[in-house]
Amino acid sequence: MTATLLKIFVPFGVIMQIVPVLIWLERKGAAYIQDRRGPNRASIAGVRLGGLIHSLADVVKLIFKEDIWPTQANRLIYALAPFIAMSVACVTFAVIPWAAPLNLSSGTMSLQALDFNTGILFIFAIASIGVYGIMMAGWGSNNKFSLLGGLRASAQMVSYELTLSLSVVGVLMLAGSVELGSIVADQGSEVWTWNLVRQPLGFILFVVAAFAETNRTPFDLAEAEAELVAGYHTEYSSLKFALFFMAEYVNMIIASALMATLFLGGWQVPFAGTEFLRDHASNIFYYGLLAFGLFSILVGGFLALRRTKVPWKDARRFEGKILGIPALVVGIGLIFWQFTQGPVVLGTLGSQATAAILQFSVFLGKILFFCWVFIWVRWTLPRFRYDQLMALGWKVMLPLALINLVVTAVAVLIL
Amino acid sequence: MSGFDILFFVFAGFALVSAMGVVVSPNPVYSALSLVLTLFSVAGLFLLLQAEFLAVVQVLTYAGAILVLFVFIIMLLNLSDFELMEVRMGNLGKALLTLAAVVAFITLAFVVHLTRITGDPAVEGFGDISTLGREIFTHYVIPFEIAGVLLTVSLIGAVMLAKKNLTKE
Amino acid sequence: MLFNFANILVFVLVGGGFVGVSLFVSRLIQPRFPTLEKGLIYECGEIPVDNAWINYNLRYYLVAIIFVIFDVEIAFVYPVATVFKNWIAEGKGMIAFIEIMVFALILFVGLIYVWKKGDLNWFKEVVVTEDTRRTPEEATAL
Repeated sequence: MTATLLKIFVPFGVIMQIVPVLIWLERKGAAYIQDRRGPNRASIAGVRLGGLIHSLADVVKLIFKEDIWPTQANRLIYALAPFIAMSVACVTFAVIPWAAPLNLSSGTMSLQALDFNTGILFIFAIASIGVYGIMMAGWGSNNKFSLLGGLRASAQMVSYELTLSLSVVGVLMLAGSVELGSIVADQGSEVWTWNLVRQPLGFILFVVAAFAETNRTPFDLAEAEAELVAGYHTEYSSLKFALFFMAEYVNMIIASALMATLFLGGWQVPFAGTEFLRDHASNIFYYGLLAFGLFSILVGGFLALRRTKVPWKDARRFEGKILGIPALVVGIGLIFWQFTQGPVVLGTLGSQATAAILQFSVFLGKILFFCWVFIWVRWTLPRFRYDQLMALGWKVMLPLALINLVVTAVAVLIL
Repeated sequence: MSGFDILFFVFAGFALVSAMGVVVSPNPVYSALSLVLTLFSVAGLFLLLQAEFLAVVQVLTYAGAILVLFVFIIMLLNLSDFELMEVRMGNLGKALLTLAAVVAFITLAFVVHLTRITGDPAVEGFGDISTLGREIFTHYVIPFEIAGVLLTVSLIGAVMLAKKNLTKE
Repeated sequence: MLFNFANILVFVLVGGGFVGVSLFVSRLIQPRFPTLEKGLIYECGEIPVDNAWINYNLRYYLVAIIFVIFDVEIAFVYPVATVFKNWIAEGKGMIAFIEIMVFALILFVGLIYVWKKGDLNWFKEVVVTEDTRRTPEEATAL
C-alpha cells in the first residue's frame, strides 16, 4: 500500500517540480537565443539561482492575483475548462515506467504507478480527452478570439492524433506489446537496438505529431498571439490561466517521456543493462558519491571565489558566497566521509535501489533533453499557416505513417 | 457487498445520472458533455468486466473522437437554446408520448428481469489486447476486413453528405 | 485487477484533487473587486459586439468527420499489430501479413478518395469563370 502510494506521489511530485524548472528553461533559453539575459533579479535572501527564483515569484503572483470572471461567459463551462485541461494532463503519466522492475521477496514490482496492460492506449485515450479542455475554454469564454483558437486547436489536435497513434504501431509490432514496460525492456541497453535506430521514420513522425498535440510552436496556431491575442485562454486570469500554462508544460513533459520511452529506451542506461548495474551497484554508489563530492567542491569553489559584479547593493552581491560555501562544505564532508568509511557493500535491495535511482536519473535526463528540444524549436522556427498545417498533417504525415506501418510489417516478417 | 459491487453501483449510478443529464439539459453543449461522462462511466463498467481494451477504446473513439465531433458541431452551429428545445406539440401529444415512454420503460425492465445471463465470470486477461488480436486473426478475419470496408464506405458517404450541405450554402 | 482499478481512481483523484485544492486555496486568498469594465469580454479594448456563439465554417466539421473514421480504423490496427510478432514465431506470419496489408490498403483507399475529392484542402480552390471576372475598369470603379 505504501509502495503504491509512493509510486503515485513520487512521479507526480517530480513532474510538478519539473514544471517551474521548464518555465525557467524556456525563458532563459529564449533569452540567450535572442541574445539577452532573461530573468535574473528575483531573489530569496540573495539567492537567485540564475533566475530560477523568478518562477517561484510567478507562481506566488498567479495565486494571489484577482480572478476575473467575464460576465457574458458561460460560467460552468468556463470554470470547468482549466480544471479538465490540467487534471487530464496529470493523469496521463500513470503508465510510464520509471525504472526496471524490482525483484522483491514478494515478487517483482514494476516501477510505474499503473500496471496496465493497455499502456500506450491508455495514454492516447486520456490525451484525447484533453481536447475538451481547449474546446470548452474556447467556447465558454464567449470571446471570438477564444472560440477561433479553440476550434483551430481542436481541429489540429484531432488531425495529428491520427499520425501520433499510427506512428507508434511500428514500435508495437517490434515489441509485440502495447505495455510500455515491455516496450522498454524490448529495446535493450545497447543504443543501436533502440527504436530510434529501428524506427527512424516513426520517431520523426511521432516527434512532429507530439509537437502539434501539445500546441507548441511551430504548431501553436491556437494561441497565435499575432492574430488571436492569446487564443483559447484569452479570457483567463489568475490561477485559471496558470493551470492552462502548467498543463502545456505537463503535456510537454509527458510527450518527452513518451518519446524517451518509445524510441530512446526509456530508463535504459546506455550500454549498461539492469543486471550489470545491480552487480556493480556498490562501486557505482561509491564512485558516484565521490564524483558528486568532487563536483560540488569544484562548483562551490568556483562560486565562492568568483568575483561578481552586480549593480544591486543588497544580499544578491554575496550570492556566490551564499551558495558556494555550503556546497564546498558538503563536498569536502562527503569526500572525507567516503575516505573514512571505505567502500560500502550494498545488499540486494540496496543495489537494486541504486540501479533504479541511476535509471530514473537517466530517464529524467532524456526527458529534459526532449523538453529542451521543444523549447529550442519554439524559439527557432516560425509558425505555420493554418492550411499548411492541415496539409502537412493529412497529406504528408498520415501517408508517411501508413508507409511506415507497411515497411515495418515487411521488415518484421523478413527478419 | 464487495468492492466490485460498490464500484459497479458507483459507475452505474454515474452513467444513469449523466445519461439523464443528456436528456434534460436545456443547453445542447451540456447534453454533449454529459454524454462524455456517461461514456466514461460505461468505460469504467467495462474495466470492471476485465475488458481493458474495450474500455480504453471506448474512451479513445467515443469520448475522444465521436463526441468531439458532436461538441464541435454544436459549438459551430450554435443554435440558440430556444430554437432547439421548443417542441411544438399540444398537451395530448405530450401525454401520449409520456405514456409511450413509460410503457417502453416497463417492457424493457421486464425483459431485463427475465433475461438470465449465464457463462463463466471474466478471468484476468480476458479482454486483453493480445487475446483480442488473436481472435481477430482466427475467428473474425472476414468481419475484420469487412469492418475496414464498411468504414471506408461510411467515410465516403459522410464526406458526400457533408459536401452536399456545403455546396447548398 | 480491482487493485489496479483502485490505482486509476486514486490517480484521477490525485490529479483532480490537486487542481481543485489549488483553485480553492487561490479563491480564498485572492482579492475580488469585480467591475463592469473588468467583466467585459476582451475585444481589443472595444465594447464587444454581440456574442461569439455564431455559426462557423463547416471545414472544421469535415476534418472532424474524417478523423472519426480514421480513428476507429486505427483502433482496429492496434490489437492486430500487437500479436503480429507472435504469429510470425508460430509460422503463420504470411496470413497475418496479408491481413494487415489488406487492412492498410483499405485505409489508404479511403485516404486517397478524400484527397482526390479535395476534402483535405483547407482552402477550396476558387474557380474563376469568365462571367464573374471583373475587368480592371470595373474593379477600379468599385
